[in-house]
Amino acid sequence: MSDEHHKDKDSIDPSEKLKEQKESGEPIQSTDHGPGGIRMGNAKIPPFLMITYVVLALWAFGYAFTAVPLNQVSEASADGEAIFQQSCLGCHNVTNEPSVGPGLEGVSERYDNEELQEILVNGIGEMPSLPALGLNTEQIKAVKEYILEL
Amino acid sequence: MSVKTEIDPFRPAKIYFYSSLFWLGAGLTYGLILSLKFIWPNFLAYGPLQIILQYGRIRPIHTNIVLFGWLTMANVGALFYIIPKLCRNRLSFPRLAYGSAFIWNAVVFAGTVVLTLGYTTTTEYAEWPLWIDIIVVLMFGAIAFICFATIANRNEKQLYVSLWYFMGSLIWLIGLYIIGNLPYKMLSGVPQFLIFWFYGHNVIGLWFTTVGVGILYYLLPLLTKNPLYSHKLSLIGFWTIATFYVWNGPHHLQNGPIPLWLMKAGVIPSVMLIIPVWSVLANVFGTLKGKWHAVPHNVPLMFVVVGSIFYLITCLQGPFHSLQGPSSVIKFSDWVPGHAHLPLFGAFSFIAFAMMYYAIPKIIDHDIHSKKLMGAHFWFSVVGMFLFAFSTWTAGVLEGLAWIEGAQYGMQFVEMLVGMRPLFIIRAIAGALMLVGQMIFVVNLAVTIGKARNAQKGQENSA
Amino acid sequence: MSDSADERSMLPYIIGATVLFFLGVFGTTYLPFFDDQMQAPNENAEIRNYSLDSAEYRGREVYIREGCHTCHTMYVRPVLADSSLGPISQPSDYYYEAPAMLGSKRTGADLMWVGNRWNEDWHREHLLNPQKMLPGSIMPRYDYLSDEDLENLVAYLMSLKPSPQSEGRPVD
Repeated sequence: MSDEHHKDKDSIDPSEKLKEQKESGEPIQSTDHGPGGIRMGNAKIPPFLMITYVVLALWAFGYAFTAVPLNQVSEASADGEAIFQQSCLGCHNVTNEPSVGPGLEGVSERYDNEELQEILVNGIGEMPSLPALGLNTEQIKAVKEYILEL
Repeated sequence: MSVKTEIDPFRPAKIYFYSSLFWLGAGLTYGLILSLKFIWPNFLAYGPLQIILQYGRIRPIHTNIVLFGWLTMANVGALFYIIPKLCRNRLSFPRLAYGSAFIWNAVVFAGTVVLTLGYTTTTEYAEWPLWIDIIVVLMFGAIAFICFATIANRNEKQLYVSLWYFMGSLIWLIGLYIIGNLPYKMLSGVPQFLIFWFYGHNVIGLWFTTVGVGILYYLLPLLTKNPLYSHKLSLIGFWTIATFYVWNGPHHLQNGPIPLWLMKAGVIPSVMLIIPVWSVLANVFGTLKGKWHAVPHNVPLMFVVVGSIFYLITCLQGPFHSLQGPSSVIKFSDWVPGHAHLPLFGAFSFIAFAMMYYAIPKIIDHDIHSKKLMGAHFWFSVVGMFLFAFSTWTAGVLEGLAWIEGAQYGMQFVEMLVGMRPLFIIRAIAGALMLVGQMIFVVNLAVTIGKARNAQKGQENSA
Repeated sequence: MSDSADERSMLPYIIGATVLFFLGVFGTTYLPFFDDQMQAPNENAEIRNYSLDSAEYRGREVYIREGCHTCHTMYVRPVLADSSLGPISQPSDYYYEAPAMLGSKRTGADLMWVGNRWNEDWHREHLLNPQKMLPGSIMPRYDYLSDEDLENLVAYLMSLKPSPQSEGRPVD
């Protein structure tokens, strides 16, 4: 039978088994007659694993009672320069050189604060309104402060 | 020797193993094409190929072929081999088992065609449409029926650890496949997405992982000729994975639109998975005790050992990035595919390779053709996996940091992608190495099988 | 072995595995349907509740067919990495979304509110030749789509806007 034949290959050299027993000093429970020729050892759970189990259990309780949702929205203070680069730089240079739209160097001399706010919120000519670009109130304020410095 | 006179009892295992090899090659080829499209987005975009090999269409084809063509077939082959061995009997319903392989191949082929045509449910790893899912569930039912019937008729009283894992996996697979493939227009919203990731995570954890660990528990004592280190650790490992794994889905929506209680219900079991993983690994290294010197001379054992180490790494990562902070940096980045390839290729494909190197010579009664090619297969696979992991993890962290700096859309996003190009190139090289390694594997096995056939014919002629 | 008597029957494994599995199924896939946050649509959800004969609905079918969801998420988190993507996603935003395509990988940018970012012409040009609009982009060309598919897809993308409330307006 093929099974018999294969089992010979699988089965364990008895001398090896004895050696193993001597080395580990642990009683080997099952014999060659274990399932599929596999013997099962009986080692204890290593201490570091016991510690791991306990630590994890303690952590789980701590986490269950103390975890709160992450909220970094307020931390993301609106960075006018970054928003400008993302949303405006495609059409406006920071120099006075015109691109699709006019260059913005010295824009504070051409418009006062309120006029600029009006343009940013509602758009002008081809330029879309900033809310339409997905920017919120705080971000628009940051962009305005940034370009007023140019 | 009258070994071959009766019908080969391992014919079903054989047909599953051989079929899986074809899908291994096909799946990795799709993977390589995908990785090249990261470097040249218009790679092979000529004529009809532009549509047939369009990135969004072939990504699910790659995942479905490697998961259900390659690894599932390899796993079922292993079940059909190991279960009769551990039960000291023969596989029940061998005709059904043999026939199911053909239907399964047809299913994977049909799934590939359907996805190429653009019919998808969008559920990751369950993109196949409903009519295929129904056949799949029937097939899984048949496979489970065969396995349970074989175990019920066993001549060996005691159920070895591997059998616990196999029984659990077969039950879980059917359950989660049905839940994950409920008609996708029937449900909606975030709860539906939770079901998608309940499925996506657990098909890895309660099928590929648990069958893989079962195979590991079978191979390790036989390859090392040591007894399995600790029966207690086996018990702890099995019952804790059964308890915790199924709760992992919600961590895929970490920091997302889910309530706090659900976030906790997902994260705590994710971290608790350290218990089964370390218990299994302690069992692995305990069993290896005193036999390390034998490892470098035994390619299947090398695959098992390195596969176990990859399993350990992947399961150190998992709990870590289920937490809010790490998740907020690396979620959605290329870190994720790096993490996903580690268990599926690095750990459980390696264990499947070892399984075939161990079982096929016994089934066909012929030694593997070339040990050198076995070694080459190992090194190509390991180096490929390392490069893949290195490139994706590095890219993932850099992408996450770039997003924090604000490169979230438009030109800034693209500039970030351009910066990733060297890493994408390394990733494609890694993919090529993996594919070459598997070609060597397939050729080596094909030559072995051919030789065994010739030897058998020679015997028949001389008789 | 003292406890090996327990390992001679298949039943403990079959029952144990099944019970533990269904506990997790109940907790992570069934209970969420009954959470308050999941129960009601908001205005964003209404915007995305397309009628079956609308261009947006057909565009969404194109989006699914071409596998856009494999590279684009629709999922804005309250984290630094999502700070310029617009309003944070709420469960009620997705109330009608079937299949829900929150996504798992950002090979391309998040599209939750992409309708706010560009206009129709930009989207059309970008889909036909992404590298023309964003040099260095690794998005494939979608120049093989029929005109109808393309227009529907653009209509769908343009519909992905927040309702005025969730955008943080009005601006004073």
